[in-house]
Amino acid sequence: MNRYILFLFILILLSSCEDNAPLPILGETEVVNGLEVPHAIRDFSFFNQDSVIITNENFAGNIYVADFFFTSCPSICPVVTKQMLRIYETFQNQNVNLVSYTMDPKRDIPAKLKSYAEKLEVSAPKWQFLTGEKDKLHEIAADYFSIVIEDDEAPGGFNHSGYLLLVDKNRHIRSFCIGTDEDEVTEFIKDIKKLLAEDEK
Amino acid sequence: MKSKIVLIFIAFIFIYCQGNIYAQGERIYTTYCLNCHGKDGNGLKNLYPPLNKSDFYAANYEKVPCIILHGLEDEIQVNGKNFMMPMAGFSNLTDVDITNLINYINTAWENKLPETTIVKVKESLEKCPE
Repeated sequence: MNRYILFLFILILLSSCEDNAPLPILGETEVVNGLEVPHAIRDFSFFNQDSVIITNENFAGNIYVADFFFTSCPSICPVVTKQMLRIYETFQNQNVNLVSYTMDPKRDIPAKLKSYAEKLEVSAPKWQFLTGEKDKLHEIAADYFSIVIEDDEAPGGFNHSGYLLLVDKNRHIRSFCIGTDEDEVTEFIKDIKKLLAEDEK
Repeated sequence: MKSKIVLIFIAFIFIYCQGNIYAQGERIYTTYCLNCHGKDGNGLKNLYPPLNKSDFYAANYEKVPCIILHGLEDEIQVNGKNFMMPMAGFSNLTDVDITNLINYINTAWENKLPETTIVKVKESLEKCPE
């Protein structure tokens, strides 16, 4: 009996420890001039759905959730977008932004992104839909651990991973999940709340 | 005695199959339709139209097989809302697949639409606009 209580006590202790631990900084740490530099999102500059230039400066001091998609995507994007919408609605009145990068800037010009955002009943600056040079978009995907491959055989012409990524105010990735999995997104939302609480300290 | 067992066996299969009457249609729905139209058939905001309690779907039952096979580019009005996201066609689906799919949708969620038959689906497909 005593052993049982002890076991329970350790279990509670462990689970509470886990809750208090800050989210890790994900990605590979580079060594530059003898200093360890954790992985961070590079500088960027793209157009949003209102044809306004949005850079990394727009997110300075803010946390955001990012994903990669394209408006004519017939496969997983609608499912991921639905989960992004869930995050948008959950954090409507809190300091969490959303960023959706298109992989298909040829078709997804700002006007197309605007119409997509309007149909979803969302708007900037809370949810930015970004487009620009294709190479730059595909390059930055790597910073978000996201893979974008042009493939005529794939539905809609692109193969991609449907990750959602949580970026802190210092451009570090702190959590991610598979955007098609509702249960994973539920856990991911808990991580967003944790990061918000961390910032308030 | 033997025939009794056979009878019970048949009855059992019959009851068992009743529960999954459109199981194949459901599988096709999950593969080709669910991403946009949703698990609950309610679509997504003004982006993807609902199939659940959809006035457009019910009124255009003759066009539905063509839409599934060839897609849809036109703007449509569903339950008072306009939708203009092009839908891709699924030319790999057979007449049987389309029949099963329609029968699944017709009775899924809150839908209580009449059953279709392969004959009706074939008739509709013959009238598809080019």
